[in-house]
Amino acid sequence: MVSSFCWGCLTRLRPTPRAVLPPPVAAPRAAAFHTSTVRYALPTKKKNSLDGPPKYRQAKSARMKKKKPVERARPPPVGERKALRKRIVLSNPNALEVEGMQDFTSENMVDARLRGSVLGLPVPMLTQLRAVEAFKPKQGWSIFRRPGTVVRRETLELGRLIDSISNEGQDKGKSVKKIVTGVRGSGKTVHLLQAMAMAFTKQWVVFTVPEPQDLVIAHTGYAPLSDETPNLYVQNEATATLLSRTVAANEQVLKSLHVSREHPALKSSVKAGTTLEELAKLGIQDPAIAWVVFQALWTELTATSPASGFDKNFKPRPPMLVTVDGLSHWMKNSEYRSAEFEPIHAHDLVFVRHFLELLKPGTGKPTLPNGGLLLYSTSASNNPTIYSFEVALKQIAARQAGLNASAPEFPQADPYSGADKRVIDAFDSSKPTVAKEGILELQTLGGLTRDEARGFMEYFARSGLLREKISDEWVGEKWSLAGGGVIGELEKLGRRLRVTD
Amino acid sequence: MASAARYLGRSALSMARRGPMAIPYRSFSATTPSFVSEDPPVPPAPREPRPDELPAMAEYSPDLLSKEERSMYDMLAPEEREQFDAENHRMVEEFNDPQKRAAAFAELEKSVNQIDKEYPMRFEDIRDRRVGFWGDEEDDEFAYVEDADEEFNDDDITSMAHAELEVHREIREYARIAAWDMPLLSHLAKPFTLPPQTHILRFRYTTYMGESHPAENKVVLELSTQDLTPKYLSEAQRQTFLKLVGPRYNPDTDIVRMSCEKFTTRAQNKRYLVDIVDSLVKEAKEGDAFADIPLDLRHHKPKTKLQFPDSWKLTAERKKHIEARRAERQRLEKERAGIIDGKTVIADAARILPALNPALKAKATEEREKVAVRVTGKAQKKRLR
Repeated sequence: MVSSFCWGCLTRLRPTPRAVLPPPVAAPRAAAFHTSTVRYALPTKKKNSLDGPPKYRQAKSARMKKKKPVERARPPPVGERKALRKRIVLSNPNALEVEGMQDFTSENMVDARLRGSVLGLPVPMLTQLRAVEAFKPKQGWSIFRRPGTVVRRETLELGRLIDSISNEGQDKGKSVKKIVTGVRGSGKTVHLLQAMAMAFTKQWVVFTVPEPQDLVIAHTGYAPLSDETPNLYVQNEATATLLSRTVAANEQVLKSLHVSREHPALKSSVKAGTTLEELAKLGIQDPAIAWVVFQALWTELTATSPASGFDKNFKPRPPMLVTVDGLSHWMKNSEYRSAEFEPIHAHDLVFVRHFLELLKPGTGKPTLPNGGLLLYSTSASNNPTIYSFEVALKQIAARQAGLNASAPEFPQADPYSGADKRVIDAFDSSKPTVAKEGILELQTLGGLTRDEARGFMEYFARSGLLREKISDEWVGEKWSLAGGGVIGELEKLGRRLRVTD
Repeated sequence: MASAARYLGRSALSMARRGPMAIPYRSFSATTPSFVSEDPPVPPAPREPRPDELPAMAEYSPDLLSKEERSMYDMLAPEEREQFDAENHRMVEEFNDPQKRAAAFAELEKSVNQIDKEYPMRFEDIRDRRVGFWGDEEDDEFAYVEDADEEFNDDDITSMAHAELEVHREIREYARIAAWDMPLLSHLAKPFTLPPQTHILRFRYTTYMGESHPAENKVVLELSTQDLTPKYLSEAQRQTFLKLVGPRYNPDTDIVRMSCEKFTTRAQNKRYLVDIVDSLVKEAKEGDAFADIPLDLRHHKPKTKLQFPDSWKLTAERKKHIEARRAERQRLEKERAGIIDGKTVIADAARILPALNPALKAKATEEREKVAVRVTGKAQKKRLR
């Protein structure tokens, strides 16, 4: 290719001839029409330095001013910031009272007509729910007059399930095990809360682990369980708080139940007439025996018949609800260390182990012989990524779909990924042999339907938070913006302040 | 050189002074000395024949013409031909007449003798100009050669423009090829047929269009392991085969790919690859089965190909469905008893609730103060004083 560059062009780039340039200004010129002579400004006086004449016999180096200590406000007392952070506000007096809002009752929790409406949590139950830490901060309870939850399809199913377990029928005393997953903001924790509210209305006993992370981040004391099992560790303080949660929430139920058998580990402190509330309070008062007390309480609550000599005031035990919120923290090594400074696996903590073993099918009798519901949920916001747990969840789903574990399509962990076998084994529950025991299920929460979303947004408008016309079109737009009705996103859209006019 | 000549000259002089040269011969020889015989005398050059001695010319006829002349002659018109013949006859006649011939030759001789007078010739000695040490005054040798661009009459485009034109011509040439010749290539096309079952190996060679390249001898082999199964390997043996080939296996496409550029020629590399496949198959059949080792696929990252879901495509049917659903929704919306409007809710609340309504609030405080005054009337009075 011939270059388009031309030497001839360059040679033409000659400097401008001097004649074209304006002549240099030789003399200062006044305006042409001016008659007065030109006068120059006086020459400026040579200035001395700003400091005046040089100073002798004085330090000339730069002086550093000493900083005065700034008076700071005293920091808030220990624990106050955390209390503020963890504070749960359930009421906003500025929000409007929603007229005609119903409360959760044992009747309307199975009412399909209420689907899409918001049911309030009964006020007396709030102390119980607070005791089991069902509410989490930043859930948006504080923008409404009083706490309430949407009745969605899953809620109705849950209501029917709880109703069938506690009422007379073929499903009475059934034990159901579920792991709740879903995308972030899909309402997993609130689903657990609804389960707790229903359980409280049905007089169940509720055990909760609201923050599983607290058990594995080495923030509570731990000790080897016994000399026989040196690799198992007990967390007495955490167990004591679990007991206090349980007692505070289920006081009425536990007061009406009495001890049904001997507890040799607790010796003479437990007699025939002791109520279960008194039994549990032993563990709260003395955290050193908290684990033993918890075991005793668990055996009492899972007892189907009294031992001899204790059958005087034996009452059949109510069903139980056990919830754990944020399961994946339990699926890795904890921050605790053994005496050899080896990391302790979370499954070696007896507390964790107890709740995970409930997922396995019971031998001889169901894990929850009096019926009940295990609801373990994952978390999507504070969630360590654990490959083996993901595989385990996939396996649960496959098993639920009826796939055999030996089938080639059955999801298996990659043999070279270093998957944690204990985690996969923890969820590897074969078909239960006992009747009245369900297989471990995986429940995935998605978005609300458009009708449910409409009910939810109407609740915002009726609370005076949303200055919008809740038309079908508007709801459809927000439903799409919220990723197909993800309720957390819908809530953000509803609570955001807009000045439209 | 000069001194050498002088030296030779002196010896020659001395030889001359010595008198006639005696031919030295060996005194004891009995034979008389004999000399080389002299060259034969050069015969004098044959004298140029005088004009009257030249042979007479043959009678003219067109057949005597040479080949070229004959063809020229044939192309002439008949009258021209006649004229040509007449002229030739006259020339031959003049030549054959001795007097006319002598006169013509004498004329010729005379003009040759007088040529000097007509074109005076001088042989001047043009001496070379002396070129200095630096050759400053030297003529430019290249300037002697006539330059094509020397004379420019402002009637042509520049050479760069010519080059552009040349490029354009070239483009057009290839465009012509593409338009006229390349469609004919389709006559040479052969229909694609799947390679037969026996041809399960696929080789790839690379040509660099005649340039030499270090990777010219590289050969790449690809084979699908599914092709091996029933005939060469059982399924279990195939797994062993996959474990043996390691990261050369792509589980997405089920293709094993290996290459070789170990040897200098392609044929050698290809042979080597085939030998490798043979030994792999043999090893998979006879060697360790590696049943205890899971197949390692860590080398392969499956690519997620995102495809637009078929269910999202807006077909006419789906459009109709969506329209129907929309109409249904609008119908339900119209039937609906009341649409909740956030603004009216707040306005209603402001009318009713004293906390939000200043008029109601003032009324309420008034009433409250009335009660308060009744209870603590005295105290207030005191404070006023």
